[in-house]
Amino acid sequence: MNISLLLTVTFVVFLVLGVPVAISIGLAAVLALASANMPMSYLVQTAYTAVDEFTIIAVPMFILAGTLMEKGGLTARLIGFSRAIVGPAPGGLATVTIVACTFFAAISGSGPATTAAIGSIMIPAMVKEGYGKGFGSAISSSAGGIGVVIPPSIPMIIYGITSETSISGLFIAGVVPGLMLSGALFLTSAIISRRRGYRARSAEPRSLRLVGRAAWEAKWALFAPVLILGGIYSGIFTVTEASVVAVFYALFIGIFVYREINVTGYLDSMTYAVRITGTVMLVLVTGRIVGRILSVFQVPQAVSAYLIETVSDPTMLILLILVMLVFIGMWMETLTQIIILTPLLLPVVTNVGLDPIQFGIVFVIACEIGYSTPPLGVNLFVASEIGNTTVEQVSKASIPFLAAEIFVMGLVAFIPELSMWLPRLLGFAT
Amino acid sequence: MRRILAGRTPEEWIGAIAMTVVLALLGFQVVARFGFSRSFSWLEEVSRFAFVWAVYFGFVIAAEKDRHIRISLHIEALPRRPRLILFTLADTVWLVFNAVVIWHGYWFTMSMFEFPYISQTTGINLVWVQMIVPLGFLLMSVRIVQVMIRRWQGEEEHVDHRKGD
Amino acid sequence: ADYTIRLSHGDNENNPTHKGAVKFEELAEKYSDGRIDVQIFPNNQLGSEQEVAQALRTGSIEAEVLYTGNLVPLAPSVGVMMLPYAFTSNDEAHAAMDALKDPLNERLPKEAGVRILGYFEKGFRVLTNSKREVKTLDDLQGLKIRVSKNNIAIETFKSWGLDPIPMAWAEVFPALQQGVIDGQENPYTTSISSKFYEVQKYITEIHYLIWSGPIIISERFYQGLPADLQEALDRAGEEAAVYEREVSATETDKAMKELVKLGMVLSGAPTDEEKWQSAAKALWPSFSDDIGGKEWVDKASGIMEKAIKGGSE
Ligand code: NA
Ligand code: NA
Repeated sequence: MNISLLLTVTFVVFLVLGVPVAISIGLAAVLALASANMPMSYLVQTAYTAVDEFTIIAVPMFILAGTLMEKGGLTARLIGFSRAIVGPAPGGLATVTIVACTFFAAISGSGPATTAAIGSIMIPAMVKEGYGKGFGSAISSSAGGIGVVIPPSIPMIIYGITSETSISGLFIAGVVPGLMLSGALFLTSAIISRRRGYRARSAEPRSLRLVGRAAWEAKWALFAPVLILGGIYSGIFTVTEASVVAVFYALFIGIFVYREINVTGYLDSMTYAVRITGTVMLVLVTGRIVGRILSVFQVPQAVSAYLIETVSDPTMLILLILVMLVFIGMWMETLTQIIILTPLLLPVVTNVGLDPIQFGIVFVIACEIGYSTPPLGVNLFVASEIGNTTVEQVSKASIPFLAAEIFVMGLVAFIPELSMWLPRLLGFAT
Repeated sequence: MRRILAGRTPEEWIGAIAMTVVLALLGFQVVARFGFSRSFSWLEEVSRFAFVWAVYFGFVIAAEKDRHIRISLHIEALPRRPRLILFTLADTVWLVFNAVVIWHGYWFTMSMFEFPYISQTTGINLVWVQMIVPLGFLLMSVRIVQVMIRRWQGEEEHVDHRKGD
Repeated sequence: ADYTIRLSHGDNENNPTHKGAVKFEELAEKYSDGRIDVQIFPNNQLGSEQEVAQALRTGSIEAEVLYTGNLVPLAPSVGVMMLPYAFTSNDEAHAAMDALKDPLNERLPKEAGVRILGYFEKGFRVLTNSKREVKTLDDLQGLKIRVSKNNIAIETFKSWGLDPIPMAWAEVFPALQQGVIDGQENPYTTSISSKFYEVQKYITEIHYLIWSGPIIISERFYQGLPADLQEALDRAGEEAAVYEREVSATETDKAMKELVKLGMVLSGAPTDEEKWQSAAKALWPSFSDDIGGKEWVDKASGIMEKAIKGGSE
């Protein structure tokens, strides 16, 4: 039996039976290993190494920092400030979420970490203000993905290494498309919010005095990004360490300034962060195994070889590659996808005139979208956990945002200037 | 003091402590490197080991709370009895998967005593870290069985508390 | 084909490692009259180097090219290849590698369930940094240098008066860019392939260690082969290594010229190299226990010394 068919059928059957997503993936992997005549010890080994990754530590740490900022009273003040800026505009907190994610993206290189950091503050706030749980989680999941399009970005580093493309060039090329994604999400959320009547219930009209007072109230919260960004760009710590510094900062302010955190509060936040990490990582573990098995059977290679042979029109080819990237992004873990597909697709796309940097940005946007598409969408999992809602609901609410992001991806793929203008201007590309 | 100790399962304690170790070690690393220009080669590896244990206990915590992600809207819509039967079936499938991991994990662990993998910065045999794989899946299985029982006893009327938009 | 070998390595297609692997594929298939099929998986698609090495033992994957330092945790004996300044030129290194193949193959199957077919290299590791030209041991002091997570590399840098930082590979580039660390050490070609020239300025040939990487095969798989195929693989491995070393030399030359063009300052070897050597060589006895015991280290260094002398005659 064809291996991809076997994997898909097994996976879907168990999923429908109500078996957890991670286990359905894992069982498909077990069957595939057996049919490939590979020992099950590969499963055991990968179950360890998929977790044993230093850079993933940033995920629970940013979740923890977010939770502590909420418990410690920083969030309430940050929301007060956001509310003062946005005033009674419809969808105001959704806008704040998008802006915050965009800003935080300049600190974080990871999509799930961005979703965790902003989502754990903004989703409860949105729910409190009467926004739908699904909507609040969906906007955080989608906007969190911007974390990998705006520099720094872990997927860009991996792409740069695999494709031998300038990483600094990629970083700079991501700025404009990243801001476009924020803009597209903002427009989408504004339309939805207006239709559903999401708005701050008791917001006072905007005034400079109010904004100033709220900013002063929120000064400790507003200093957090300054500390983290400043620390990273001045070379005091790495991105992973920055997540730890964020936790210590939140603890310090929560304990000594606002005096709203005690031992119980700390332990509650910690177990919460550990549980969410456990929920998300179990899917990553079995997903990693399936990714490896697909590589062994050279499935991605076969798919793209087929594409290249059958399509000759450049526009059609690029469109098909976009569809393929989004489709594979639904099922596969980001880094695996980049490592496997880059060497295969890069010669094809440069042949039809794309710059490797431009394709890198397109690819990273596809990964960004993949974070928020089921069945394997890490942001989706993080956001639905924080939002205390189901993956189905968040997925449904994500559809308009995903459509907007796919539109931006298409623009970046067909208009080179969007990604290439800035790196050319600064001399990182020719 | 009693309030702090009460109401937490052992896996929550271990998970929280392991993650606190990660936090403390990495915080120490930043201070040592930036403040005192010192660097400790074992720090990165030890914090990763503690992290792996924390995550595996996270698996167990999520199992005990029945919070591992599943697609179950269509099952929730069923009447009580068929719903319970389906969930039991699904969880049995889960236990079968865990059994595969535990069985092969046990033999893999044993083989690591014979063929050690020596951590370069701490000198320990990594078997002591990697054995969390069969151990974690075993503990998870215990919690899954408990949840199955709870469900039939009706204590866990599986109303998905996450539902509702 | 009767047998399939899945061969994993961590580099991309432009690397000498990959070109050597392709040569191995060609030769193994030729010498086995097509009874063996080799499939190459670049870029760590099947798992990290250490992960795959462990998978070789259980037979999940059949073969791999990996950095010696990543094999040491499983097969301590191979650590003799990493003794600082055991050899100081490519020719010396090649002689030592070839002479050690058989003695190592008496030990590795027992230690890690793998065996060596041939030994690749990518040139000596050189020090890059963004701060200043390092010409003497004094210039090195105070720099924050990332090393790979290997005890010998860590201790060697300590003997030079530094606290080296064993940072995860994925974090190295951004850390160099943002100045969390000042430098790193890898072969010349890595500065090209990982774009370090964008964030580094100075290169010193510290020459203490060559990037050596054996092509290893699962002992369980190897023992399941008929004798003629075992021979075919041994021959293919050795000849692929000869080819790979030539490619590596060419690539290293090319990389050095390229790096100068890209604005890096190549300082050659330190002017006080004897100081570096004597500090690092003084550590040899302290490594013995971690790399197979004193008896083995004495034997292996004897073999290397003899091979190196023989090579220069
Ligand atoms: Na970012
Ligand atoms: Na996805």
